[in-house]
Amino acid sequence: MNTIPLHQLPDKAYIHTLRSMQNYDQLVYSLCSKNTKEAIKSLNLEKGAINIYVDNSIELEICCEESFALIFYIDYDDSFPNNQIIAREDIKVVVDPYGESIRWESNFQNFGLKEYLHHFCEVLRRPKICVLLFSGENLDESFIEPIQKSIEGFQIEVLSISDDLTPEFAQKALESFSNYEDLYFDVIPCESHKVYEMDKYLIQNLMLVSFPDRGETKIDQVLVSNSEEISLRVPNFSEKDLNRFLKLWVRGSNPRLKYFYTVRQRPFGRDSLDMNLVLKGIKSNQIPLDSEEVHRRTKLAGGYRIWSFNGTTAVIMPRPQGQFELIVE
Amino acid sequence: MSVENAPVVDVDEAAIPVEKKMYYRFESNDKKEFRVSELAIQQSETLNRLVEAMGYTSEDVENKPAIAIENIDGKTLKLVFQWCEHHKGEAIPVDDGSVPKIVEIPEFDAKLMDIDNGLLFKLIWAADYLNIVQLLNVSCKKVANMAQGKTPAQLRRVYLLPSDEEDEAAKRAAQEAQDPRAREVEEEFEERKRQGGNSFF
Repeated sequence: MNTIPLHQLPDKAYIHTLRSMQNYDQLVYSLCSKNTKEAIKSLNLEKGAINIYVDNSIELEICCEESFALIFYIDYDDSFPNNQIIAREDIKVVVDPYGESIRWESNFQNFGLKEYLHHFCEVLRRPKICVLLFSGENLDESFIEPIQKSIEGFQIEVLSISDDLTPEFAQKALESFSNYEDLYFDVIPCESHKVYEMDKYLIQNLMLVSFPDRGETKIDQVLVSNSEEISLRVPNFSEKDLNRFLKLWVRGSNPRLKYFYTVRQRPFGRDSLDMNLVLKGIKSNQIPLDSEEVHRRTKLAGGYRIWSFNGTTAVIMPRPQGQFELIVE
Repeated sequence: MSVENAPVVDVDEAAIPVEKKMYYRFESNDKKEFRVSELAIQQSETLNRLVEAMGYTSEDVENKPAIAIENIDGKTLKLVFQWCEHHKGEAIPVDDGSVPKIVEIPEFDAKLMDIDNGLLFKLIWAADYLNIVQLLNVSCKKVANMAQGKTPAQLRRVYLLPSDEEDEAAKRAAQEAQDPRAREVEEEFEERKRQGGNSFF
């Protein structure tokens, strides 16, 4: 085999070589020994991210510089003691950018999700899981506890629960993981006549909450939310509901809110919202159509600026198909 | 002493200003001599400073002994000077410790480095010692490319990586070499253990 004693190169050349490697190779190199781990850690790799996708198997995705570098597929074996997720067999790893899968030799025995997670969090100096996503209609609730044990102590940036899961699964997942900043759920974690039970998740001080509407969501549930961003999909709020929300915002409700967005607002037989009804009784100024004002990368021309009691301003952007956007400045 | 009188690479005389047309003589540790153009020498920060400090005239270059490079052999030095002659006059990257994000290996460099890994290893040491920034970039990139798509087990073999146990042993040996008293204490401790003593003190 073509070999070269990398550790015996001059220090500068050694670091040069490590820096010149592809991200995938750097991460694999970090797994070779304690010293190689420290060497890659010292490179301060930029923009690393760690995602966990739980479907029928567990996928641990390690990203570097906005493209994925390594994906580990780890099968959950419930026969293993203490519900630990251990990759006892060979680990299937997807390699990028070479576009091929390889199966590692099983010399990482007793090295499972938890161990890989700790390893890469340390190497990437990123003590957070970027995305924890549950999906798959066959996903069993018994997956939750082992995952919880494996990621214990880690902050989660985005917790996402897809719509093919049951409300019971969603509820258990939301109760099991509390250490998240953004919450996306596509399934209402309660029975349809108990939508109010959702409020306990909405009142958290999150960065973002995004939830679906099954027809029972009330504007009150937006009002109890303490998130900086709220995104609702297919809500059936009327102009009167939105007017009530805005009047309460003017009086000081949702003080942390920076952005509120409803997707696919049902149009009530019209193409867009009637802004006269939405803004009824609220002092507002329309921003000229030729204005160049931009906030949060959104052009504000044509929007309606309103003021809260403490002087904070917000712009309401009328959108096609009845969508509604509130941008707090 | 064997002398390689011809320049390592044909010199494009038109490209070199008349006043710069001077060839320095260098000698490897196995007594091989090389003539290298002043412009090519500029690729090596170490050699460039050396010749500047010496202040040789054209006569000095011919009459004084060749400049000895004690720790590089002729085979390696030939590659180094071939590289320098080929890249003479090119902009030299600033050596600020950073590594360029994307390193392309030019065709000439790829052919030059189509050598066994033992010689590549020596070439990297020479590029580091002589501070030839771009040669270090491309040679390290070649070594980095050896990692492509390998598993940890394969990387251990390709790069001859020590295991954790070997690293630990090497660290202990280095510490002991630094502090002989520590080794004496450890030996004394081991001896007492053999004699059945429960406590060292």
